[in-house]
Amino acid sequence: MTNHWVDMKNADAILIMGSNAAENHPVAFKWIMEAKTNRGAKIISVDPRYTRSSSKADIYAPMRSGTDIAFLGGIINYALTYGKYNAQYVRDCTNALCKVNAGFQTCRDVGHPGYFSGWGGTSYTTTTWDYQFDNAPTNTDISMATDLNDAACVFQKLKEQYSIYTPAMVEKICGTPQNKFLEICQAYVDGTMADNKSGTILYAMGWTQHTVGSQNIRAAAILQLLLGNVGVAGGGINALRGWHNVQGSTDHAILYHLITGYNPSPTNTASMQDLASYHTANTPATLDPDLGNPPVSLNWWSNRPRYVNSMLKAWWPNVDGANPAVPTNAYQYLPKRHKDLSHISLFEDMLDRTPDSPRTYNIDGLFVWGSNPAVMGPDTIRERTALNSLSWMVVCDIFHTETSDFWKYNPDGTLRSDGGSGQNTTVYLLPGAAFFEKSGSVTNSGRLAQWKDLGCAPPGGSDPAKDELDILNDLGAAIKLAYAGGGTVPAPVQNLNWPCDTVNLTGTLTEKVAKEIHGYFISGPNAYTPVGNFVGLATDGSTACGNWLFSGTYASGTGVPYTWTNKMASRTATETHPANIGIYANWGYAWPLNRRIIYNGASYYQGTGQPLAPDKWVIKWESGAWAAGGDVPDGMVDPTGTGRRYPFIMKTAGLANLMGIKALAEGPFPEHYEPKETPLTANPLTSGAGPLSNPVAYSYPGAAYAPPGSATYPIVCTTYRLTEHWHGGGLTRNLPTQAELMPEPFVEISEELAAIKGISNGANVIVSSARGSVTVKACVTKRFKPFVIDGATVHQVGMPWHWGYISSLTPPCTGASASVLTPHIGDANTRIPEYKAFMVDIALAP
Amino acid sequence: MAITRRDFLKYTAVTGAALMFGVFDLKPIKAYADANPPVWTSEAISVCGYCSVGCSMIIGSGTIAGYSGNYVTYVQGNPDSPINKGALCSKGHASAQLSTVVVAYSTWKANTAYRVGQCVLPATNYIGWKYECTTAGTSGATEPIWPTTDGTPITDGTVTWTCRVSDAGARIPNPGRLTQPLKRAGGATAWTPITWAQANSEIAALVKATRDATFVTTDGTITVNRCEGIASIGGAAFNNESCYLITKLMRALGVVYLEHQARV
Repeated sequence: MTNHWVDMKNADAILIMGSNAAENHPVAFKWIMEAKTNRGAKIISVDPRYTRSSSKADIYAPMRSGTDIAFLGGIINYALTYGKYNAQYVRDCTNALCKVNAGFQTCRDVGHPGYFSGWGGTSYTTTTWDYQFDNAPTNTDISMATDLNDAACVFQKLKEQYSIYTPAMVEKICGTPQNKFLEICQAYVDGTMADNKSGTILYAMGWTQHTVGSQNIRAAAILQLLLGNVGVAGGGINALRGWHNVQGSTDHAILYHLITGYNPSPTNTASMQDLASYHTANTPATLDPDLGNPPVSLNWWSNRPRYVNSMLKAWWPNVDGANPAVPTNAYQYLPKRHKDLSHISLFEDMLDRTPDSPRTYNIDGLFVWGSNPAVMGPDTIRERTALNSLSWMVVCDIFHTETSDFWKYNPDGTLRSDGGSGQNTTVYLLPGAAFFEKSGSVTNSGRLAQWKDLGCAPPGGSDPAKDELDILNDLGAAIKLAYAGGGTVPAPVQNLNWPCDTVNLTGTLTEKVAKEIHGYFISGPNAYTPVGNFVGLATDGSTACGNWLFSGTYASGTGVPYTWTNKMASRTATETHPANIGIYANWGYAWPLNRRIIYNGASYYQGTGQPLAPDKWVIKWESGAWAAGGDVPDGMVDPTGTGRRYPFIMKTAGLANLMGIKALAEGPFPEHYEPKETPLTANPLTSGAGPLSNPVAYSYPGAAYAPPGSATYPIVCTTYRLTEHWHGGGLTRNLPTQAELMPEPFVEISEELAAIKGISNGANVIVSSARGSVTVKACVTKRFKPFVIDGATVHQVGMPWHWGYISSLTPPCTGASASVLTPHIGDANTRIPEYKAFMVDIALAP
Repeated sequence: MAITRRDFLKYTAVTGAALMFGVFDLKPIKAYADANPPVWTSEAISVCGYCSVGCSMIIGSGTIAGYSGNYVTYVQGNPDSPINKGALCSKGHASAQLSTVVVAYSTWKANTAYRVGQCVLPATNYIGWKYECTTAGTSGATEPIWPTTDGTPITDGTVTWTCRVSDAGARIPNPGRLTQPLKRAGGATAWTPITWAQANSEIAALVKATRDATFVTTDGTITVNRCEGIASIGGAAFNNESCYLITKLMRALGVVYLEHQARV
């Protein structure tokens, strides 16, 4: 989230799309209702199904799953066509005025409908997806238009791209009635474009889990920027994340493509062959719209070497000679990745026992840390089958799960007839702790780290369940012991600072690790005292810091030496902001630097520091200083001075990108493409002349997909959660009240489809896709209505995905897993699976 | 507190109607409250373990009859929190069940064998009391006239039931929780409990064997130090400090197949 939960109360309009906050983040819905009650905010729900959030909305519009870009593109076109955007914000804070490479063409170019310039038949050459520069060949000073009407500027390219996203086109693709669509445009665009108004967009996996997931978010960002809704109170791009610490596990880079704090993990290319090359390849050059004149482009990622070097010093502090020493050798201990290794690819590689280049070996061992892919993995039967190829697996959880006990079952979820005797994977099941049985920090969706005190110890006898921190600590120590006598390239293991410097850091083990994450000096007179925050991190090897984003969580003071102080444990529940916008600066600690609204340098008039919205100002400049009680300014110095900065400090040019510069695989602007599986055979946007589905999404050779317009699977299906259960059900299907409230899975179908199929409410039905089939109860409901898409009726159904074949309760809370139906296809940039739009058929069970 | 949701719904529905007509006896409710003092002895502040709102919670823990150690018996939303202001959702409210559950009561049935300790609710005329089997046997053909005084026995066929005013003694550790490391060797048809020492040394040996056999040191001239044979998934349910250790340990081993629930 750019903003945070409490901030939703400041919004004047709230667009809930790709999420269902009332169901899945129910307590947060309080702040949405507060905006409605106190500010008269308009709540807008766009969803294929009339959800619990829809029931609280002022406006509800149905939309076929997988057509979000058509819908958002339609809103963007409305704003541009009628001049309903925040022109000053757009000029001052976005790249609207930047001139675009002369060779760039949008998807509206008649020569290549549906494609951007550079399409080569199977992939893009991205040379033209760039700016023009005034200082060739250095290319750091962007050529700027003086007028948004300049045909060469980003703004005009944006306008051209969305010119055909008319209300009629939206209706044709999404199935949304034009009058409903226009009602939403008016409520959201007209209602929030003014300087003193703001609108927030709340999304979740309903937007990300598509083959165009990243571009869905880009479309939302473009809309928010046009309306001046980023950086302000009650605005932002707000991902309502799932797990209570999925923000933290992302921040700490349990992801193949990252190391901690959103730095890229090294690849096996010459451009990252050593530390110096890595920094050259990954430290962006600063661009400036007006080089030599204020404002200044801060380009915060130019600090990347400080963060990466400090992480390496925390992990391998003593392998580069006496400190301070640049971690040149330590860098080579990091593995260099060779291909896409995301969730789907990981399971495809696990399944495929004939590796070929660039893969040399099979996956033989798997760690599963409190996760349940045997229920939630896409194309679940395929993933359960893949588990059978493992020689060993270690699962850490608090109950038996479908994953830990997969060896008792066939991939379709039926019990094996041999009891598992023919299944050869060695499995360890390590008992972990429930959330209240461990102390430590978790980071919520608003980037807020809160410290937990210990409720009680995990249960058990002489070898009891344990905090995962202790499990990892002991296991790591055992692995280090195994390597004490050598092995293949043993040095990265032998020299690992594990779990942290337990001699020089003090406190409980959790506190010591938290201190390493925060960072400290490792040499000089202040060795082992904390750094103040990440601004104090160095490239020369004098500082160690596990994750720069969290640097600031564990120190207080005004200068070196700082004092270790756990700010995540701060629980002063007092509003600190004079305008009562819900900052509560002393409740927990938000990264970065306890800033609650990021990009808050865009919340005031550039050049003056006076707030766009005086009644809900975030920061403001008064009498030569930032007004007391405001949020932590986002890299901002005197906004009236010559050193003033462009507001989007994480962007190389300091401006937010209406046009993405060589960022995403599909191109610089989102374009509507159908899901991989679609009821259509031609993309209505380009009357079939352009690509039907995402042309750069990767299809896995062995995976099954229904062809476009399949008569076998003619019904659109999506998946979602229920408030009573949690994700794969590994927790809640072991809790009596939750099992009683929601005992079994079901499929929601419209009354119209039920009539056609002869299905009555409560009947057992079979839902089938190209991957498999499940038998569940039918829930015949008015919440789904058939869509009319491009003149034809299209039905949609939906299923919750919480169930599987393991439950400790009597009777067991078990049932078919909806994810069995979902495809092994992912977003073209992230390969997040397309759980939210796929094709099925439905029939009465015999 | 140990009153069940169903009890509560029944009481509130019945009392609402009964108070209107002035005929309902509130004594069982008062007796219930008197007999069910708070069931926790210490409190700690935590953060809910489900969604990412980050609701602050007060965790009540204490001992429970018949078991050693402390357990969580009660949770409530922390009213101090600026985020949730004391509120919790259905899952959050139920999260004490991750530690302890109240044993379910079945409804009395005729001609049925009962063990000592089993508890029933009357099939008819239920007004809130529970009946614990104190002498095993088989129930009679017709339902007994249930007593409404705590501790009073009633004979039913060959079973003796004792009237229980409260849930006391019915709270047990969640029986599904894992309380010891388990191992299932390849081809085995059941789990075997093992010690942590055995788990750690065996897993470390497997990690070393797989890593040593599947380690790629170079791609051409580039040092890559990559272990292709081990994958790691998950971690979003762990604390930050544990997530960090997963990344640190896996990267040190050279693991590149590293994922968690951000995508799935």
